[in-house]
Amino acid sequence: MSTFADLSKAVESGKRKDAKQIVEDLLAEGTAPLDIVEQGLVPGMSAIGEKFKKNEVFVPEMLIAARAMKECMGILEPLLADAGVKPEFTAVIGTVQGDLHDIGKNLVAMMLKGANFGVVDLGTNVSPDQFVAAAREHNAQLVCLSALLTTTMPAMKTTVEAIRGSDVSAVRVMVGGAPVTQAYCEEIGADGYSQDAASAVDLALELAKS
Amino acid sequence: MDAPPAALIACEVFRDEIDMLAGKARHLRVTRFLEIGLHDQPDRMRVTLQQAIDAMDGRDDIAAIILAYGLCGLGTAGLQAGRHPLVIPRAHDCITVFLGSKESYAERQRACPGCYHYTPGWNRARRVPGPDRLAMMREELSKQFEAEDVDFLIESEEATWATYDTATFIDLGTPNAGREADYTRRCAESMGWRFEHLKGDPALLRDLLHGPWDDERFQTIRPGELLGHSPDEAVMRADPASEK
Repeated sequence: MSTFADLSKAVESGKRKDAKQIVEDLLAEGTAPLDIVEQGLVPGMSAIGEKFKKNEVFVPEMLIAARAMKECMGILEPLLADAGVKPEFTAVIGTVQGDLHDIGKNLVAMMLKGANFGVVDLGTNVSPDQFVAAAREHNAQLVCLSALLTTTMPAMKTTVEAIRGSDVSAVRVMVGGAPVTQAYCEEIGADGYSQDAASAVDLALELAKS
Repeated sequence: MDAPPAALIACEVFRDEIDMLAGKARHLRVTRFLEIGLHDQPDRMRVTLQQAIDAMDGRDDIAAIILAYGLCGLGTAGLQAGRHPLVIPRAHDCITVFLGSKESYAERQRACPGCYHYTPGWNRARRVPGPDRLAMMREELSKQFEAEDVDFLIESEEATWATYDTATFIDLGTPNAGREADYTRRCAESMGWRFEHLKGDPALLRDLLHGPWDDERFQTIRPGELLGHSPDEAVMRADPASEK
C-alpha cells in the first residue's frame, strides 16, 4: 500500500514516474485528491526546499522535484475541480520589472497551487501597472513579488508604491528572492517576506486570511 | 589621493583586465584571484572571501585590502575588516565594473533587458550561454542524474536563456578582445541572438586598483565594521560589526 510518505520521498528525490504511480495508487485506494496534495506532494517539496536552504542540494535537484510535483498536480487538478474544490484565495505572482529570473517564482507559484490558491502567474519583467491591473481583474487577496538581483530590488519598492496608490491598495503584498530580506520588506512597506517556497505558503495563507 | 600599499583579492573573472590595468603597480604587494562563480552560493562566497581577507590581514606591508568584487548576490555582505580597511566598488556585480559605473549598468539594463553580457573571463569559464556551456553542463550533470533528467535540466537551462535576445561582448581593450568577441559572436549565432560589441569603461576598475577611492564610487569598510547591503543608489554601506 502506498503512503503519503512514499509520495513525499518520490517528489523530494525527483522520481516523477514513481510519484505519479503513487498518486494513481492512492486515488485507486480512495484517497481524497486534496489530501494527496496537502499530505504527500507539499511536504515533499518542503523537504527538498529545506535542503536547498541549507546548501545540501542545488537548483537541479529543486527543478526535478518541481517537475515531479507538477506532473502529479496535472493528474490531481482536474479531480480537485470535479470534486468542487475551489481555490479559497487568489494570488497574483510575478518577477519584478527588469528581472528575467523565474525559477524561484515558479516554485512559489506551484506551492501556492498545492495549497489551493488560485494562482495568476504574470511571468517575468512585470511592471508595477501590470501587477495592479491583475490584482484588480482577478480580485486577488495577495500579490507576490520576486527578484533575484540586487539591481532589480528597487522595482519591488516601486511596485509596492504603485499598489498602495491604487484602488487595490488593500491587497496584501509579499516579497521574496535571494537578495531580499525581512528588513527590506519592512522598509518598502510590503506585508510579508519569506525566505523559501515552503514558508511562502504559510505566509501567504496568513496574509490572505488577515 | 593615490592608493596606499595594498593587497588585492579579485574574482578570476577580472584576471585579464587586472593584468592589463594593474601592470607592475608597486603598491599592490600581493594579489590573489579566487575562482569565478562563487556568487552561486553566497554563503560559501562570504566564508571563502573572509578567509582570504583574514589571511592577508596579518601583513605589515599593506594599509588596505582591495576587493575586486561587487555585492554579488549578497556574497560579500557581512565581510568584516580586520586590522586593515577593505575597499570595494559600489557595484551590484562585475558587469557594473566592466561598464565603468553603476549608472551605466542601470542604463544598460533599462535600454536592453534582453542583453546577456560576455567578457573574456566569463567566456573562459564557459559560464556564458552557448554550445560549450551546454556541453559542460551535460558532462557535469551526467555524473549525478539519469539521462532523462539531464535532458530536462538542459532544456530548463535553455528555457532561462529564452528571455534574452542579444549577446553583448564588453570590450575593455584586453589583448585577447578580438578572439573573445569572435567567441561571443559564435555563441550568439548558435542561439539565434543578435551580437553586440560594446566598448566598456575601465575607469572604475582602474581607480579601484590605483585610487582615488571616493565615497561616491567606493565603499570603505574600516576596522570594527562590516559590509552591509544598502538597497538604494549607494548599493553598500558600512555597518558596525557588533550588529552582525
